[in-house]
Amino acid sequence: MPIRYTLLPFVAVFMLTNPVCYTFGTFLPEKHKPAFYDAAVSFVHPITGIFPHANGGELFVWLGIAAGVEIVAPDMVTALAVRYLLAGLVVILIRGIVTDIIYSIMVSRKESAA
Amino acid sequence: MQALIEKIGRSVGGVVGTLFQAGRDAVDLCLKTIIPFMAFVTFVIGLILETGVGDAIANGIKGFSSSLGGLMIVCIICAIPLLSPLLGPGAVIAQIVGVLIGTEIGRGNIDVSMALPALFAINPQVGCDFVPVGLALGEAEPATVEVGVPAVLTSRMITGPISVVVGYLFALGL
Repeated sequence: MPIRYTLLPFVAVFMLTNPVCYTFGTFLPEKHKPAFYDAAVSFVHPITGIFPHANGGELFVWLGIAAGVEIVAPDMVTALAVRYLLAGLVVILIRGIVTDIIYSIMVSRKESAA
Repeated sequence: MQALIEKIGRSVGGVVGTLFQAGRDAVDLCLKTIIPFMAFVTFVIGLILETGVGDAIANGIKGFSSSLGGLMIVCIICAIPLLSPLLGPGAVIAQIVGVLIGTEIGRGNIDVSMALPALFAINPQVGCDFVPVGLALGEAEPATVEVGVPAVLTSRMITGPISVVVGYLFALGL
């Protein structure tokens, strides 16, 4: 599970970049696809701090804030980028697990209703 | 011999074609997405700085974005399942608010340590507009998509504020 929601989205986003990275869901069992999507899509911005190629179209989420930080504390931008990436990994792990749980609850509810 | 030449010709052609297309895509992305957005952002920054409107909005947001609790409120609002798909497309809202907060950080109105939690606070709606397409790219069944969309949107309500806290913790000691 930790690999599914940290390493896999990281590799997917790093290698295949924004819209195509979600195709990695193909390799997962059906019930984990929504959680994987949630993890992957949540990672397309944290990764832009150090690896801007991964999401060229939406760089400004990071750049907007980084521009401000650069004025106040230029030497902190890189540290911020690294921390953004690491925090992103933690966040997508949490997101993947939570979405997984919610999804399974919703599915079982739907099945009992049907 | 002829087969060898043909093989080499084909494979070289393939490599050249791929590289050429990659270059074309890269230039295309720069011209059609990045540069227009830079112009747009420049315009927005100019508008914010020159008209007094910017100060009014910034003061409103400043109250929220200079403290952890305020950022969580921003985050929860952005993560409301009815709003998040509307806020998601192209990450435009996140980018505008990001530039807005970035400008305020640059002016010194918001502390630098708030940059990381802010990055997460403005972004709980990421990809919420894109769930069906993203799931389809992962070759999910229609039944999975049907349940998966509300599942993702609901989970954002919970994980959004958590992400702000994670960002805050990671920003400690910066």
